[in-house]
Amino acid sequence: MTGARLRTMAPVGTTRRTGAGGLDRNPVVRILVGVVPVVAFIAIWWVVTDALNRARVYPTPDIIWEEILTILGGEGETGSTYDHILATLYRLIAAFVVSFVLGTTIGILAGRVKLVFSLVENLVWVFMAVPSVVWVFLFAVAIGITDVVPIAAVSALLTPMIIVGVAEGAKSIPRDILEMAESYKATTRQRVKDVYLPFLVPYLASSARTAFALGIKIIVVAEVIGLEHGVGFEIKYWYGRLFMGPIVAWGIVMIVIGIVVDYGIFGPIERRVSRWKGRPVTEAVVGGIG
Amino acid sequence: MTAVASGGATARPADLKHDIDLKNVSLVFPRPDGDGMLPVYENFNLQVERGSFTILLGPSGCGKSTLLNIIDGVLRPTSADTLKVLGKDLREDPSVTRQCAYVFQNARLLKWKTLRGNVEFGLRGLNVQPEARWAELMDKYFGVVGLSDFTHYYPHQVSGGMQQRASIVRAWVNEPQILLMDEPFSHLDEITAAELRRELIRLWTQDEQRRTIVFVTHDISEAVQLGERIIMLTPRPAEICYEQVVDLPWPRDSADERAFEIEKTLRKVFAEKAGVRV
Repeated sequence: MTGARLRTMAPVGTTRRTGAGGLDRNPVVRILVGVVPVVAFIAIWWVVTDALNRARVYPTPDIIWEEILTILGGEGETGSTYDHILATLYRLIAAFVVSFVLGTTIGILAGRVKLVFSLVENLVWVFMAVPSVVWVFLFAVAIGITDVVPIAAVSALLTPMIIVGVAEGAKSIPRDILEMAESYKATTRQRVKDVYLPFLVPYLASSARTAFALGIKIIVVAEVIGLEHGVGFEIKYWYGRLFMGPIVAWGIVMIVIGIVVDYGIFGPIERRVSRWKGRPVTEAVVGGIG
Repeated sequence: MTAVASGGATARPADLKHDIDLKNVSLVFPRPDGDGMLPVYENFNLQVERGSFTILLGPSGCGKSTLLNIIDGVLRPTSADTLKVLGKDLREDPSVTRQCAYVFQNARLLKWKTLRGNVEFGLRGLNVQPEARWAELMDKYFGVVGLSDFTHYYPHQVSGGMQQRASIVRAWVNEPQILLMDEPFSHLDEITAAELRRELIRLWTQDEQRRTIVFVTHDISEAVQLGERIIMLTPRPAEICYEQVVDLPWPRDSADERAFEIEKTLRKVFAEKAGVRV
């Protein structure tokens, strides 16, 4: 009914767009659009692995599901699975904190002081270009097989990334705001706390998000060498026994942890710190109706 | 009398006649194209009487804002014989510029702070003492410009006129000896601008001891509406080419015959001396 009325009223050419917009807003359609590709992927996987008929190397989805349940159950062949997850998360968080503190400090300096920027510029690109595996072996030789290796390797990878993001932000602080702060004789403390950091918060939040997403992938690679604990160790263990089911299951567990942290922690933080960027009250009221 | 703020009375010797005293001030900038130097001021002189409303009127780009920055201590001239604000040499005692407060062309509020937070930023920067008075000062000046109900709003939630009002409060709340205003109403629509001009005069005249205002504009009507003394500047290197005292009571009516006559004269001189037709 609505569609028919729209077609008679709307000028030619806008009808389609209105129709698509309406479809997009339909919640059932929106969920279907998200779910269908995943279901299709699993179905194809199932058909293919079933046909290959070697579940140990080509695990079917039901086997993977059982492996996931085993992991969630907590008791694995190599001890408590939660210990492995916690070991990995601890290293990831440590690396994240190190790179965030270093990256933000150097990034602000590089963005505000030309000399610092020139000093770190080339180094940052070199650090970013080094494959993470190279870091892992270098650190493993330099400091021996300890927790520090994956932490250092991931930090070496994330820090330059955060420096680039933060420096970009620090460079774009509007001149007129800095002049205002100068005219009102703002102290260094005021400038950092009330001007630089709040301005940089959106940059920091997005840097943190990207860094975490990248970090959770790299940390597992970094753990493969020598360590007795962690998700990387698990993957190496099952690879050694040529059992692929648990490897995929561990991968999925890490994906889920990544998504939960992103949506549950970084998302709300980013929204909260960007409150002041909200829409004007009048616009919000009008927009809220639609 | 509101002498407590900013150390008030002690900062200005009682017998001081000129709050701003510049003699033979020169300022050269490197040209943007790197081709030599650009003289902005050459042996420039200016005395501003305490408690006066002085207008600096000049064509765009002649360095009016630059002059305010020199007075505010954020820009050092290339050379100067005298560079005194409130009787103190800026080169020896730059802290005296804490007695100056600036109102910019655009409001320049921190978007992540409420209007009140922005005003507090200025109070903290200029180190207004005692801190216990801040709340009272803010309530007072937000009240005068009619923003009492909006102090907890963020800048993006209020109109451009209200943002500029808040920036005027940020300057005035420090109860500074000198107010530097750089075309503060030029970005507003005419009705809002007229309203803010009336509020500015009300703010200024309500104090027992009037603050010194240096107000930059290129708008001749605005100059005649507000100023006691209008100083006309030429294009670079800027020189004072004409002075006009406007001895009319506020609020001034643009339809007033005397104001109209002054405006007419100024327009004529402006076209001749500043080489600008307005």
